[in-house]
Amino acid sequence: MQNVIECINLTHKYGKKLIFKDLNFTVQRGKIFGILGKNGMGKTTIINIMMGFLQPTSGRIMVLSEESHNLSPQTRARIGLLHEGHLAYDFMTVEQVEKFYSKFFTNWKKEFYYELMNKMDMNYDHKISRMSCGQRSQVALGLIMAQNPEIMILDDYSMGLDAGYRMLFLDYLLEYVHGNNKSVFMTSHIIQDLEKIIDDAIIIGYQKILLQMPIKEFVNSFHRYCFITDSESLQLEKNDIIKNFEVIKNKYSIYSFHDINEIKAYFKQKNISYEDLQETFMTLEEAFIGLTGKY
Amino acid sequence: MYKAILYKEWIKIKWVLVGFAAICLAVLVYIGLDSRHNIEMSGAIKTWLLIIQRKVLYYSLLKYIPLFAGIALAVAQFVPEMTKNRFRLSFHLPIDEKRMLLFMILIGLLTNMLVYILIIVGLMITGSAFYPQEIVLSSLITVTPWLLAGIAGYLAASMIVIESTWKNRIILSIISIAYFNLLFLENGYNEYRFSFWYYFIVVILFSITILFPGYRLRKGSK
Amino acid sequence: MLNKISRYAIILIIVTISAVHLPNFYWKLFGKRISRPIIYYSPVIDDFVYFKLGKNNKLNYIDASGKRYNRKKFEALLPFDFYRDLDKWGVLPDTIKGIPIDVSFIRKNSQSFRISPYKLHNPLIQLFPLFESKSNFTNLELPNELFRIGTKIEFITAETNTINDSLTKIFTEKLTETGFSFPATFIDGNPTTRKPFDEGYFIVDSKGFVFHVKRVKGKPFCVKTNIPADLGIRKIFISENPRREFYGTILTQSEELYLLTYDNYKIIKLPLDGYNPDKMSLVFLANPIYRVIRYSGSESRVCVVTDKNYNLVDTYEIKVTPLSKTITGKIEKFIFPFTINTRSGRSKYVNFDVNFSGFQSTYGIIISLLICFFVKKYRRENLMHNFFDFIIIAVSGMYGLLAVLLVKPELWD
Repeated sequence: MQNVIECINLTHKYGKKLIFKDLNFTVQRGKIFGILGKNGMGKTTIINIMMGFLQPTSGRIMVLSEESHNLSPQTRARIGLLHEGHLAYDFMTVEQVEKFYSKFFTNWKKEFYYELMNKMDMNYDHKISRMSCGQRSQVALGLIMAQNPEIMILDDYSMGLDAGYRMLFLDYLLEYVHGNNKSVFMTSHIIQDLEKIIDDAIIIGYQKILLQMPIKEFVNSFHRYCFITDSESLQLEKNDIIKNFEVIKNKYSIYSFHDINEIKAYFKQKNISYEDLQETFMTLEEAFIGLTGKY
Repeated sequence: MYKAILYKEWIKIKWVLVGFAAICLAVLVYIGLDSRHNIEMSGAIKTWLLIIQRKVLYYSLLKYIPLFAGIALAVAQFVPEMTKNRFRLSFHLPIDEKRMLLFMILIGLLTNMLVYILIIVGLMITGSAFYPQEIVLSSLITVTPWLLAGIAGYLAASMIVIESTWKNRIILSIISIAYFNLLFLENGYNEYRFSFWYYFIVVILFSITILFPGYRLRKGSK
Repeated sequence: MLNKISRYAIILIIVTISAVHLPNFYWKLFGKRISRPIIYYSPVIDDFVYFKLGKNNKLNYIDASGKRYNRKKFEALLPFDFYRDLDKWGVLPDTIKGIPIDVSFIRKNSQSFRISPYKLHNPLIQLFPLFESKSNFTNLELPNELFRIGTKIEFITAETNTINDSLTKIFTEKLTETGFSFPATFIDGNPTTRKPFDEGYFIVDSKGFVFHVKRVKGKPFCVKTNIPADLGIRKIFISENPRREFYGTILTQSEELYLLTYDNYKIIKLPLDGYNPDKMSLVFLANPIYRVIRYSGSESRVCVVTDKNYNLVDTYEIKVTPLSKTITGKIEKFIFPFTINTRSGRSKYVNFDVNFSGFQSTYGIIISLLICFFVKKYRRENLMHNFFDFIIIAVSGMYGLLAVLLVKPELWD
């Protein structure tokens, strides 16, 4: 299967501040790929580098086999880009913005856009600057769907949207992608909506990739174990086995990709005494926060 | 594609153009009324000689209008592209960014020209009503550096708006103002007759200055 | 590539604008007044005297032999120049060289005019009022029309802004009759009502002949003068004066100055050695005994004295240190390889004059190159990638340095 995006040893610093180091991932054709992470972890930075709006400190991203900082206009035409905050030409109306974009793309599917606008009962002479966040997001989505690109890059599509609009957005997206062999690269800090749609994901944390695997695999293999301990000065450390932990008085929760027996063996090896060790169920969101940390 | 960009630019600047056209018309009408009044009050010959010998520029009210129009047009065109990083929308369009920027500049320049045509035709009409052709001609020659300042103002303001750092914006602003200053040195008519082309060459240099800040913006340079 | 060119466009703009403004700032900061002596000719001691700014910014009054005077004694040497003061003090002599004098006699026999370079470089709309020269009233009055002269002499009535056909016809016919061959080459006069009487205009025709044109009792007055057509006239300065000795002066292309006299338009060459009308201003003073002509440029001040018949009596020259040769001026040349002047007192036009400083600027250029080199090293720029930066500095010195450092190249280029 062909890779549409390849990220190779990508490192970026703002001045002296390291944002992330040695990121590697690939996005395959026909798949929906997500970059998940809390705000401020560099998701938009990755997209800015990917679209050539930023020079990485080192490493590179190839998009449709072209260097990201030098994408040709023809390649850009094959990429639908949803900017952070559903950026749009505010000074145009619903109709003007469609008319404007239609001239740039040979495959322009006007009906996709107007179908969405009609569904929302939008006046065609409604100015974008006077729209709500949700309405604007539908305009932005309508435009990239009409563009009919090979890859959609969606930067934090959920920002400022309430649940209804998020659902609407994803419904349309899914319907559009499936069966068309389109690829999607999306970033988000809200995970639960994505569970059903994302094929593969990476979760980025402070300066590095925390995880790269399909979401379903993540849900199935990531566990939370709770136990109680008497030892006052129990010092846990994060490592390959314990990805993260939380302490409330003498109640401990640890997060791990290992099964309960391996945990028990680890405790034994470390001489940690425990009572009442058991796995507790997590939602995807809890698992996500468990991995990335609450803070 | 270029038609689409023309369409977008037109949406942004049409009201500025209409506004400045209205200002120009108002000023030209005022200049006409003022001339009529002076001729009525002091006599035509005195008014003429005041213009010829004392070098009173009866159209001096127009002096800074092209400059302000140029700056306003640049602001109208490029500030909406810059706020909220909206330039990323334009730079993602499947069109070479240098060509796009230069085309936007070209549209702006042509719009400026519309204002200038209005000024020139207006000066010819009001002038011919009250003054002999020599005076009318001198008015057209005298306003050329002001129109040049308008073009320079447009190009400089575009460059400054597109520039991504405030430090550079301030530097470029100082340089630009220092240049505009050179186009308003006249104390009388026709004074740029021999040096006009030198100043024109500097304005030609201004015409491609937008690419460098544009490039810096495109590549996210700080 | 285009992006690089764009950067250099910005740099060139900065260089150009710096070359206009920085030398200006420099002189505003460091400029000092320099002494420019004013020379007189004293009929009392038959020698030149002058005053100049000494140390402490005080005026020194000196004669050509070096003798110093106080101000009162100095003015007493120059009764024709300071007769008002002398009269006030009651020390105006009764006679000078045997000629009895008093205030009104001096006033009647004095005349002065000044020719400044800007009068040669001054845009002027070629429309003129033709005054009535023999009016019944003492004050000159503005006519109702202005005239232009090209293939005919055309009068435009101001009130209606239309051609006055009858005046046009009368004057054009009269000029043609007198032998004027249209079109006119140029025309000079003194078109102001602030003069005692009017002598109209002197017009040079297409063959180089000079015609004197006036309006007398509403009728054209036109004389073909006997001024040689091959004189190469550049400009005629007319200034009517009750002494009626001369209409004014004629400046030729070869920088000679002639008086145009009332004696049947006879011209008299003034003995002015080294007079450069484009750079020097000239003052002509007639008094009851002598003619004193001063002209001064940036490097010297000259005073020429002739008798009433314009035979040379004596000349005196004082060298002046020009601004460019003061220490400030020398440092300027060191710092700035060239300057661009837009305005000067010598022209009413706005210029764009590039003045090169010569070899002295080499040092400044080398220093600028070194500074650029070290700054680029410090900034870890690739020296070869923007090598053109150095070429710009090699040509424009400090301006280029400033521009190159202000407009940083992009590192990944």
